[in-house]
Amino acid sequence: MGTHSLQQLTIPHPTRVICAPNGVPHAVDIAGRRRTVVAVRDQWIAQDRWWTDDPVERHFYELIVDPGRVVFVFCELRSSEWFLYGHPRAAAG
Amino acid sequence: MIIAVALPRFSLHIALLTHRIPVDALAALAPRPDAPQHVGACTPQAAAHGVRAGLRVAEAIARCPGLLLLPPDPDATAAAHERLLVRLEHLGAAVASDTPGEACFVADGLLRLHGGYEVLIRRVHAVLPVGAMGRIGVAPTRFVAQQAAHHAPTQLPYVVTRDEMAAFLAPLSMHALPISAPRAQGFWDVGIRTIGAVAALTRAAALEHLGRNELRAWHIARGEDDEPLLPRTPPQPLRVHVRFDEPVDTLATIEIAARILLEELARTARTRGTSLRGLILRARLIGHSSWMREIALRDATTDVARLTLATLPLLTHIPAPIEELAIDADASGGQIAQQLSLASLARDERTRRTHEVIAHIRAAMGDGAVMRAIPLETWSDLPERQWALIPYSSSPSHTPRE
Repeated sequence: MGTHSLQQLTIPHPTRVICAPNGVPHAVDIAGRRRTVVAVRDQWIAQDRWWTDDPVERHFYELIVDPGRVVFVFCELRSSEWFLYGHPRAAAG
Repeated sequence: MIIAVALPRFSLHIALLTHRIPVDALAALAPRPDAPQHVGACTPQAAAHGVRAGLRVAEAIARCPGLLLLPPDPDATAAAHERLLVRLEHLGAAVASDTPGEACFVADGLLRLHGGYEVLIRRVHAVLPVGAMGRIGVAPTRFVAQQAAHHAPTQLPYVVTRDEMAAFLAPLSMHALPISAPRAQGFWDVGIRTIGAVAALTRAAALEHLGRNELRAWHIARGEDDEPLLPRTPPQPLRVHVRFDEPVDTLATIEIAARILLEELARTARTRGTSLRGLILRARLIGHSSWMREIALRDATTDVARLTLATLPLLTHIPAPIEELAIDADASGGQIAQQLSLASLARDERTRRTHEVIAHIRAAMGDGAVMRAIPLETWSDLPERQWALIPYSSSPSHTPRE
Protein backbone atom coordinates (compact mmCIF):
# COMPACT_ATOMS: atom_id res chain seq x y z
CA MET A 1 0.00 0.00 0.00
CA GLY A 2 1.25 3.41 -0.77
CA THR A 3 2.03 6.50 1.16
CA HIS A 4 0.36 9.74 0.19
CA SER A 5 1.41 13.23 0.93
CA LEU A 6 -0.43 16.42 0.28
CA GLN A 7 1.31 18.61 -2.26
CA GLN A 8 1.37 22.31 -1.62
CA LEU A 9 -0.54 24.28 -4.20
CA THR A 10 1.17 27.61 -3.55
CA ILE A 11 4.87 27.26 -2.93
CA PRO A 12 7.02 30.31 -2.13
CA HIS A 13 10.39 30.43 -3.88
CA PRO A 14 13.35 32.55 -2.72
CA THR A 15 13.90 35.61 -4.91
CA ARG A 16 15.82 38.89 -4.92
CA VAL A 17 13.95 42.12 -4.44
CA ILE A 18 15.44 45.58 -4.82
CA CYS A 19 13.75 47.98 -2.44
CA ALA A 20 13.40 51.73 -2.48
CA PRO A 21 14.75 53.63 0.54
CA ASN A 22 11.27 53.57 2.07
CA GLY A 23 11.36 49.74 1.99
CA VAL A 24 8.83 49.30 -0.80
CA PRO A 25 9.88 46.87 -3.60
CA HIS A 26 11.30 48.62 -6.62
CA ALA A 27 12.30 45.62 -8.72
CA VAL A 28 11.93 41.82 -8.50
CA ASP A 29 14.17 39.13 -9.99
CA ILE A 30 11.88 36.66 -11.78
CA ALA A 31 13.40 33.70 -13.60
CA GLY A 32 16.74 35.48 -13.84
CA ARG A 33 15.32 38.70 -15.24
CA ARG A 34 14.87 41.87 -13.28
CA ARG A 35 11.34 43.22 -13.51
CA THR A 36 10.59 46.76 -12.45
CA VAL A 37 7.65 47.27 -10.13
CA VAL A 38 5.04 49.37 -11.89
CA ALA A 39 2.62 49.60 -8.97
CA VAL A 40 1.94 48.19 -5.53
CA ARG A 41 -1.64 46.97 -5.57
CA ASP A 42 -1.78 45.92 -1.96
CA GLN A 43 0.38 45.19 1.02
CA TRP A 44 -0.26 43.67 4.43
CA ILE A 45 1.54 42.07 7.35
CA ALA A 46 0.64 38.56 8.49
CA GLN A 47 1.56 37.11 11.86
CA ASP A 48 0.68 33.45 12.19
CA ARG A 49 1.59 30.34 14.13
CA TRP A 50 2.87 32.53 16.96
CA TRP A 51 1.78 29.77 19.35
CA THR A 52 4.35 27.35 17.89
CA ASP A 53 8.14 27.15 17.98
CA ASP A 54 8.18 28.36 14.39
CA PRO A 55 6.20 31.62 14.29
CA VAL A 56 5.60 33.39 10.99
CA GLU A 57 5.85 37.14 10.46
CA ARG A 58 5.64 38.32 6.86
CA HIS A 59 5.13 41.53 4.92
CA PHE A 60 3.16 40.68 1.80
CA TYR A 61 3.11 42.75 -1.38
CA GLU A 62 0.83 42.34 -4.36
CA LEU A 63 2.80 43.96 -7.16
CA ILE A 64 2.32 44.77 -10.80
CA VAL A 65 5.64 44.29 -12.54
CA ASP A 66 6.78 45.22 -15.96
CA PRO A 67 5.16 44.49 -18.43
CA GLY A 68 1.92 44.26 -16.46
CA ARG A 69 1.94 40.93 -14.62
CA VAL A 70 0.65 40.60 -11.06
CA VAL A 71 3.00 38.84 -8.66
CA PHE A 72 2.91 38.13 -4.93
CA VAL A 73 6.07 38.54 -2.90
CA PHE A 74 6.70 38.68 0.79
CA CYS A 75 9.52 39.55 3.09
CA GLU A 76 10.18 37.17 5.98
CA LEU A 77 10.60 39.81 8.66
CA ARG A 78 12.65 37.63 11.00
CA SER A 79 15.29 36.84 8.36
CA SER A 80 14.70 39.71 5.90
CA GLU A 81 14.55 37.18 3.05
CA TRP A 82 12.26 37.68 0.07
CA PHE A 83 10.06 35.02 -1.49
CA LEU A 84 7.96 34.91 -4.62
CA TYR A 85 4.75 32.91 -4.87
CA GLY A 86 4.31 30.57 -7.82
CA HIS A 87 6.92 29.10 -10.13
CA PRO A 88 9.34 31.81 -11.27
CA ARG A 89 8.94 30.82 -14.93
CA ALA A 90 5.15 31.00 -14.65
CA ALA A 91 5.42 34.33 -12.92
CA ALA A 92 7.73 35.52 -15.66
CA GLY A 93 5.01 34.79 -18.17
CA MET B 1 -8.06 -36.67 12.04
CA ILE B 2 -9.29 -33.35 13.34
CA ILE B 3 -7.51 -31.41 16.06
CA ALA B 4 -9.67 -29.19 18.27
CA VAL B 5 -8.44 -26.70 20.82
CA ALA B 6 -10.57 -25.32 23.63
CA LEU B 7 -9.81 -22.57 26.09
CA PRO B 8 -12.37 -23.13 28.84
CA ARG B 9 -14.29 -20.13 30.14
CA PHE B 10 -12.51 -17.97 27.57
CA SER B 11 -14.67 -14.85 27.92
CA LEU B 12 -14.45 -15.06 31.71
CA HIS B 13 -10.70 -15.47 31.53
CA ILE B 14 -10.37 -12.36 29.39
CA ALA B 15 -12.64 -10.41 31.76
CA LEU B 16 -10.52 -11.53 34.74
CA LEU B 17 -7.35 -10.40 32.97
CA THR B 18 -8.94 -7.09 31.97
CA HIS B 19 -9.98 -6.33 35.53
CA ARG B 20 -6.74 -7.73 37.01
CA ILE B 21 -8.57 -10.22 39.22
CA PRO B 22 -6.96 -13.55 40.19
CA VAL B 23 -8.20 -16.51 38.20
CA ASP B 24 -9.15 -18.34 41.39
CA ALA B 25 -11.45 -15.58 42.65
CA LEU B 26 -15.15 -16.11 43.28
CA ALA B 27 -16.22 -14.53 40.01
CA ALA B 28 -18.70 -14.92 37.19
CA LEU B 29 -19.56 -13.01 34.04
CA ALA B 30 -22.29 -10.45 34.58
CA PRO B 31 -25.19 -10.32 32.13
CA ARG B 32 -25.30 -7.55 29.55
CA PRO B 33 -27.69 -4.75 30.46
CA ASP B 34 -30.02 -5.63 27.59
CA ALA B 35 -29.93 -9.40 28.18
CA PRO B 36 -31.81 -11.65 30.64
CA GLN B 37 -30.33 -11.27 34.10
CA HIS B 38 -28.51 -14.59 34.22
CA VAL B 39 -24.86 -14.98 35.10
CA GLY B 40 -22.42 -16.29 32.53
CA ALA B 41 -19.43 -18.58 32.97
CA CYS B 42 -17.97 -18.74 36.47
CA THR B 43 -14.68 -19.79 38.00
CA PRO B 44 -14.35 -23.31 39.52
CA GLN B 45 -14.20 -21.68 42.96
CA ALA B 46 -17.58 -20.00 42.36
CA ALA B 47 -18.93 -23.24 40.93
CA ALA B 48 -17.98 -24.96 44.20
CA HIS B 49 -20.48 -22.63 45.90
CA GLY B 50 -23.23 -23.76 43.55
CA VAL B 51 -22.95 -21.00 40.95
CA ARG B 52 -23.32 -22.08 37.35
CA ALA B 53 -23.82 -20.38 34.01
CA GLY B 54 -27.45 -19.50 33.38
CA LEU B 55 -28.32 -19.01 37.04
CA ARG B 56 -30.34 -15.92 37.86
CA VAL B 57 -28.16 -13.13 39.26
CA ALA B 58 -30.07 -12.93 42.56
CA GLU B 59 -29.84 -16.67 43.10
CA ALA B 60 -26.13 -16.73 42.21
CA ILE B 61 -25.40 -14.01 44.76
CA ALA B 62 -27.56 -15.80 47.34
CA ARG B 63 -25.55 -18.96 46.85
CA CYS B 64 -22.21 -17.15 46.84
CA PRO B 65 -22.44 -13.82 48.71
CA GLY B 66 -18.89 -12.78 47.82
CA LEU B 67 -19.40 -13.37 44.11
CA LEU B 68 -17.75 -10.83 41.81
CA LEU B 69 -19.81 -10.10 38.72
CA LEU B 70 -17.52 -9.01 35.89
CA PRO B 71 -18.91 -7.18 32.86
CA PRO B 72 -17.93 -9.11 29.74
CA ASP B 73 -15.46 -7.52 27.34
CA PRO B 74 -16.49 -8.77 23.89
CA ASP B 75 -13.91 -6.62 22.06
CA ALA B 76 -11.00 -7.96 24.05
CA THR B 77 -12.40 -11.48 23.74
CA ALA B 78 -12.69 -11.15 19.96
CA ALA B 79 -9.17 -9.75 19.73
CA ALA B 80 -7.74 -12.58 21.83
CA HIS B 81 -9.69 -15.13 19.80
CA GLU B 82 -8.38 -13.62 16.57
CA ARG B 83 -4.82 -13.83 17.89
CA LEU B 84 -5.40 -17.50 18.71
CA LEU B 85 -6.69 -18.23 15.20
CA VAL B 86 -3.84 -16.33 13.57
CA ARG B 87 -1.27 -18.26 15.59
CA LEU B 88 -2.87 -21.55 14.54
CA GLU B 89 -2.94 -20.38 10.93
CA HIS B 90 0.75 -19.61 11.17
CA LEU B 91 1.23 -23.34 11.71
CA GLY B 92 -0.34 -23.85 8.30
CA ALA B 93 -3.76 -24.88 9.60
CA ALA B 94 -7.00 -24.00 7.82
CA VAL B 95 -8.90 -23.12 10.96
CA ALA B 96 -12.65 -23.32 11.53
CA SER B 97 -14.19 -21.69 14.56
CA ASP B 98 -17.69 -20.80 15.68
CA THR B 99 -17.10 -20.05 19.34
CA PRO B 100 -14.57 -17.71 20.97
CA GLY B 101 -11.82 -19.73 22.54
CA GLU B 102 -12.44 -22.79 20.38
CA ALA B 103 -11.01 -23.81 17.02
CA CYS B 104 -10.42 -26.94 15.02
CA PHE B 105 -8.62 -27.94 11.87
CA VAL B 106 -7.87 -30.99 9.78
CA ALA B 107 -4.43 -32.28 10.74
CA ASP B 108 -3.78 -34.66 7.87
CA GLY B 109 -2.14 -32.14 5.56
CA LEU B 110 0.13 -30.81 8.31
CA LEU B 111 1.68 -34.07 9.47
CA ARG B 112 4.49 -34.13 6.91
CA LEU B 113 5.06 -30.42 7.34
CA HIS B 114 5.59 -30.75 11.09
CA GLY B 115 6.90 -34.31 11.30
CA GLY B 116 3.99 -36.21 12.82
CA TYR B 117 1.24 -35.84 15.40
CA GLU B 118 3.52 -35.56 18.37
CA VAL B 119 5.41 -32.54 17.05
CA LEU B 120 2.26 -30.94 15.64
CA ILE B 121 0.38 -31.20 18.93
CA ARG B 122 3.40 -29.90 20.81
CA ARG B 123 3.45 -26.88 18.51
CA VAL B 124 -0.29 -26.36 18.90
CA HIS B 125 0.19 -26.43 22.66
CA ALA B 126 2.93 -23.85 22.27
CA VAL B 127 0.68 -21.35 20.50
CA LEU B 128 -2.08 -21.52 23.13
CA PRO B 129 -2.09 -18.52 25.48
CA VAL B 130 -0.07 -19.07 28.63
CA GLY B 131 -2.27 -19.50 31.67
CA ALA B 132 -5.46 -20.03 29.69
CA MET B 133 -5.51 -23.77 30.48
CA GLY B 134 -5.86 -24.66 26.80
CA ARG B 135 -6.84 -28.22 25.99
CA ILE B 136 -6.50 -30.28 22.83
CA GLY B 137 -8.69 -33.05 21.49
CA VAL B 138 -8.00 -35.28 18.48
CA ALA B 139 -10.70 -37.34 16.80
CA PRO B 140 -11.98 -38.31 13.35
CA THR B 141 -14.95 -35.90 13.49
CA ARG B 142 -15.29 -32.30 14.54
CA PHE B 143 -17.88 -32.84 17.25
CA VAL B 144 -15.94 -35.66 18.89
CA ALA B 145 -12.69 -33.68 18.68
CA GLN B 146 -14.36 -30.71 20.36
CA GLN B 147 -15.81 -32.88 23.12
CA ALA B 148 -12.44 -34.56 23.56
CA ALA B 149 -10.82 -31.14 23.94
CA HIS B 150 -13.37 -30.20 26.61
CA HIS B 151 -12.55 -33.36 28.56
CA ALA B 152 -8.80 -33.34 27.99
CA PRO B 153 -6.33 -32.67 30.79
CA THR B 154 -4.42 -29.42 30.55
CA GLN B 155 -1.08 -30.83 29.49
CA LEU B 156 -2.01 -33.83 27.32
CA PRO B 157 -4.19 -34.17 24.25
CA TYR B 158 -7.24 -36.41 24.45
CA VAL B 159 -7.10 -38.70 21.40
CA VAL B 160 -10.26 -40.60 20.43
CA THR B 161 -9.90 -43.09 17.59
CA ARG B 162 -12.80 -44.12 15.38
CA ASP B 163 -13.20 -47.37 17.35
CA GLU B 164 -13.40 -45.49 20.63
CA MET B 165 -15.89 -42.86 19.52
CA ALA B 166 -19.08 -44.63 20.59
CA ALA B 167 -17.71 -45.47 24.02
CA PHE B 168 -16.41 -41.90 24.44
CA LEU B 169 -19.67 -40.23 23.43
CA ALA B 170 -22.08 -42.55 25.25
CA PRO B 171 -21.82 -41.10 28.79
CA LEU B 172 -21.72 -37.42 27.71
CA SER B 173 -24.75 -35.22 28.34
CA MET B 174 -27.09 -34.93 25.38
CA HIS B 175 -27.04 -31.14 25.99
CA ALA B 176 -23.69 -31.14 24.22
CA LEU B 177 -25.43 -32.05 20.97
CA PRO B 178 -26.39 -29.23 18.60
CA ILE B 179 -30.13 -29.34 19.27
CA SER B 180 -32.57 -26.62 20.17
CA ALA B 181 -33.73 -26.12 23.76
CA PRO B 182 -37.29 -27.47 23.18
CA ARG B 183 -35.90 -30.66 21.60
CA ALA B 184 -33.44 -31.08 24.47
CA GLN B 185 -36.29 -30.60 26.94
CA GLY B 186 -38.28 -33.23 25.02
CA PHE B 187 -35.41 -35.70 25.38
CA TRP B 188 -35.08 -34.85 29.05
CA ASP B 189 -38.78 -35.40 29.67
CA VAL B 190 -38.68 -38.93 28.26
CA GLY B 191 -35.56 -39.83 30.19
CA ILE B 192 -33.00 -39.49 27.42
CA ARG B 193 -30.09 -37.84 29.22
CA THR B 194 -26.94 -38.97 27.43
CA ILE B 195 -25.59 -39.00 23.92
CA GLY B 196 -25.47 -42.78 24.14
CA ALA B 197 -29.23 -42.85 24.71
CA VAL B 198 -29.77 -40.61 21.68
CA ALA B 199 -27.52 -42.83 19.57
CA ALA B 200 -29.50 -45.88 20.63
CA LEU B 201 -32.69 -44.49 19.10
CA THR B 202 -33.81 -45.88 15.80
CA ARG B 203 -33.81 -43.47 12.89
CA ALA B 204 -37.62 -43.32 12.95
CA ALA B 205 -37.66 -42.50 16.66
CA ALA B 206 -34.93 -39.88 16.23
CA LEU B 207 -36.86 -38.36 13.35
CA GLU B 208 -39.97 -38.20 15.53
CA HIS B 209 -38.13 -36.46 18.38
CA LEU B 210 -35.86 -34.19 16.39
CA GLY B 211 -37.62 -33.53 13.14
CA ARG B 212 -35.82 -33.49 9.84
CA ASN B 213 -34.04 -30.21 10.53
CA GLU B 214 -32.24 -31.46 13.60
CA LEU B 215 -31.75 -35.08 12.63
CA ARG B 216 -28.06 -34.30 12.14
CA ALA B 217 -27.69 -34.39 15.93
CA TRP B 218 -28.65 -38.09 15.86
CA HIS B 219 -25.98 -38.75 13.22
CA ILE B 220 -23.45 -36.85 15.32
CA ALA B 221 -24.38 -38.91 18.37
CA ARG B 222 -23.69 -42.06 16.35
CA GLY B 223 -20.30 -40.71 15.25
CA GLU B 224 -21.52 -40.22 11.70
CA ASP B 225 -20.68 -36.54 11.46
CA ASP B 226 -19.23 -36.46 7.98
CA GLU B 227 -19.86 -32.78 7.34
CA PRO B 228 -16.59 -31.25 6.10
CA LEU B 229 -14.93 -28.46 8.05
CA LEU B 230 -15.45 -25.05 6.60
CA PRO B 231 -12.29 -23.13 7.50
CA ARG B 232 -12.50 -19.38 7.68
CA THR B 233 -10.90 -17.05 5.19
CA PRO B 234 -8.02 -15.40 7.02
CA PRO B 235 -8.38 -11.62 7.18
CA GLN B 236 -6.34 -9.74 4.61
CA PRO B 237 -4.87 -6.67 6.22
CA LEU B 238 -4.47 -3.50 4.21
CA ARG B 239 -2.64 -0.45 5.49
CA VAL B 240 -2.36 3.08 4.21
CA HIS B 241 -0.84 6.02 5.97
CA VAL B 242 -0.01 9.65 5.43
CA ARG B 243 2.81 11.56 7.09
CA PHE B 244 2.75 15.26 7.73
CA ASP B 245 5.79 17.46 7.45
CA GLU B 246 4.80 19.17 10.65
CA PRO B 247 2.25 18.21 13.32
CA VAL B 248 -1.31 18.85 12.22
CA ASP B 249 -3.77 20.13 14.76
CA THR B 250 -6.71 21.14 12.59
CA LEU B 251 -9.57 18.70 12.30
CA ALA B 252 -10.33 19.70 8.70
CA THR B 253 -6.85 18.70 7.56
CA ILE B 254 -7.02 15.39 9.41
CA GLU B 255 -10.42 14.68 7.90
CA ILE B 256 -9.11 15.34 4.40
CA ALA B 257 -6.17 13.03 5.01
CA ALA B 258 -8.57 10.36 6.28
CA ARG B 259 -10.73 10.75 3.17
CA ILE B 260 -7.71 10.26 0.93
CA LEU B 261 -6.68 7.14 2.83
CA LEU B 262 -10.21 5.71 2.74
CA GLU B 263 -10.41 6.27 -1.01
CA GLU B 264 -7.11 4.47 -1.43
CA LEU B 265 -8.26 1.58 0.77
CA ALA B 266 -11.55 1.24 -1.07
CA ARG B 267 -9.83 1.37 -4.46
CA THR B 268 -7.29 -1.27 -3.46
CA ALA B 269 -9.98 -3.54 -2.03
CA ARG B 270 -12.03 -3.22 -5.24
CA THR B 271 -8.96 -3.99 -7.30
CA ARG B 272 -8.39 -7.15 -5.28
CA GLY B 273 -12.02 -8.15 -5.63
CA THR B 274 -12.65 -7.86 -1.89
CA SER B 275 -14.37 -5.47 0.46
CA LEU B 276 -13.62 -3.99 3.85
CA ARG B 277 -15.01 -5.58 7.01
CA GLY B 278 -13.38 -3.40 9.62
CA LEU B 279 -11.03 -0.47 10.09
CA ILE B 280 -8.48 0.53 12.69
CA LEU B 281 -7.61 4.21 12.87
CA ARG B 282 -4.15 4.95 14.20
CA ALA B 283 -2.57 8.34 14.75
CA ARG B 284 0.97 9.01 15.88
CA LEU B 285 0.84 11.99 18.16
CA ILE B 286 3.56 14.46 18.96
CA GLY B 287 5.55 13.40 21.98
CA HIS B 288 5.92 9.73 20.94
CA SER B 289 2.42 8.71 21.92
CA SER B 290 -0.33 7.27 19.81
CA TRP B 291 -4.09 6.99 19.51
CA MET B 292 -6.17 4.14 18.12
CA ARG B 293 -9.82 3.37 17.46
CA GLU B 294 -11.38 0.25 15.95
CA ILE B 295 -14.38 0.39 13.66
CA ALA B 296 -16.42 -2.73 12.96
CA LEU B 297 -18.44 -2.22 9.80
CA ARG B 298 -21.89 -3.72 9.87
CA ASP B 299 -21.56 -4.95 6.29
CA ALA B 300 -18.43 -5.39 4.24
CA THR B 301 -18.19 -2.44 1.88
CA THR B 302 -15.99 -0.43 -0.45
CA ASP B 303 -18.31 2.56 -0.50
CA VAL B 304 -16.19 5.57 0.40
CA ALA B 305 -19.22 7.52 1.61
CA ARG B 306 -20.09 4.81 4.13
CA LEU B 307 -16.48 4.41 5.22
CA THR B 308 -16.24 8.17 5.68
CA LEU B 309 -19.45 8.25 7.69
CA ALA B 310 -18.11 5.60 10.03
CA THR B 311 -14.66 7.11 10.35
CA LEU B 312 -14.75 10.90 10.47
CA PRO B 313 -16.72 11.32 13.73
CA LEU B 314 -14.03 9.38 15.59
CA LEU B 315 -11.31 11.79 14.49
CA THR B 316 -12.69 14.39 16.90
CA HIS B 317 -11.41 12.20 19.75
CA ILE B 318 -7.75 12.58 18.74
CA PRO B 319 -6.25 14.25 21.80
CA ALA B 320 -3.18 16.01 20.34
CA PRO B 321 -1.61 17.22 17.08
CA ILE B 322 -0.67 14.27 14.89
CA GLU B 323 2.43 13.51 12.86
CA GLU B 324 1.04 10.53 10.99
CA LEU B 325 -2.37 9.09 10.28
CA ALA B 326 -2.77 5.43 9.31
CA ILE B 327 -5.75 3.23 8.62
CA ASP B 328 -5.56 -0.55 8.82
CA ALA B 329 -8.37 -2.46 7.17
CA ASP B 330 -9.51 -6.04 7.11
CA ALA B 331 -10.20 -6.67 3.44
CA SER B 332 -11.55 -10.19 3.78
CA GLY B 333 -15.08 -9.32 2.68
CA GLY B 334 -16.51 -10.65 -0.55
CA GLN B 335 -16.85 -8.71 -3.74
CA ILE B 336 -19.65 -6.20 -3.53
CA ALA B 337 -22.17 -6.59 -6.30
CA GLN B 338 -22.81 -3.38 -8.18
CA GLN B 339 -26.48 -2.74 -8.81
CA LEU B 340 -26.84 -1.26 -12.27
CA SER B 341 -29.59 1.22 -12.93
CA LEU B 342 -31.88 0.82 -15.90
CA ALA B 343 -31.77 4.50 -16.85
CA SER B 344 -28.45 6.28 -17.17
CA LEU B 345 -28.81 9.96 -16.43
CA ALA B 346 -27.07 12.48 -18.65
CA ARG B 347 -25.13 13.82 -15.68
CA ASP B 348 -23.91 10.34 -14.83
CA GLU B 349 -22.90 9.84 -18.43
CA ARG B 350 -20.90 13.08 -18.44
CA THR B 351 -19.23 12.05 -15.19
CA ARG B 352 -18.43 8.64 -16.61
CA ARG B 353 -16.89 10.13 -19.75
CA THR B 354 -14.91 12.65 -17.70
CA HIS B 355 -13.49 9.89 -15.57
CA GLU B 356 -12.66 7.92 -18.68
CA VAL B 357 -10.73 10.84 -20.14
CA ILE B 358 -8.93 11.37 -16.86
CA ALA B 359 -8.01 7.70 -16.75
CA HIS B 360 -6.53 7.98 -20.25
CA ILE B 361 -4.51 11.05 -19.28
CA ARG B 362 -3.20 9.38 -16.14
CA ALA B 363 -2.33 6.25 -18.08
CA ALA B 364 -0.36 8.30 -20.60
CA MET B 365 1.27 10.85 -18.30
CA GLY B 366 1.21 9.36 -14.83
CA ASP B 367 -0.81 9.85 -11.68
CA GLY B 368 0.49 13.36 -11.19
CA ALA B 369 -0.98 14.59 -14.46
CA VAL B 370 -4.43 15.21 -13.02
CA MET B 371 -4.66 16.65 -9.55
CA ARG B 372 -7.46 17.79 -7.32
CA ALA B 373 -7.25 20.99 -5.30
CA ILE B 374 -8.64 20.63 -1.82
CA PRO B 375 -9.14 23.29 0.84
CA LEU B 376 -6.97 22.87 3.91
CA GLU B 377 -6.99 25.99 6.08
CA THR B 378 -8.75 28.52 3.93
CA TRP B 379 -8.85 30.92 6.87
CA SER B 380 -5.06 30.97 7.17
CA ASP B 381 -3.13 34.14 6.32
CA LEU B 382 -0.43 32.02 4.68
CA PRO B 383 -1.36 31.12 1.09
CA GLU B 384 0.68 27.92 1.10
CA ARG B 385 -1.46 26.57 3.93
CA GLN B 386 -4.82 27.35 2.34
CA TRP B 387 -4.98 24.79 -0.47
CA ALA B 388 -3.26 21.55 -1.39
CA LEU B 389 -3.12 19.15 -4.30
CA ILE B 390 -3.86 15.45 -4.20
CA PRO B 391 -3.91 12.92 -7.05
CA TYR B 392 -7.33 12.90 -8.62
CA SER B 393 -9.53 9.93 -7.85
CA SER B 394 -12.91 9.12 -9.32
CA SER B 395 -14.59 8.86 -5.94
CA PRO B 396 -17.29 11.52 -5.66
CA SER B 397 -16.47 12.53 -2.09
CA HIS B 398 -15.22 16.00 -3.03
CA THR B 399 -16.36 18.67 -5.34
CA PRO B 400 -13.72 18.66 -8.06
CA ARG B 401 -11.75 21.84 -8.61
CA GLU B 402 -9.42 20.66 -11.33
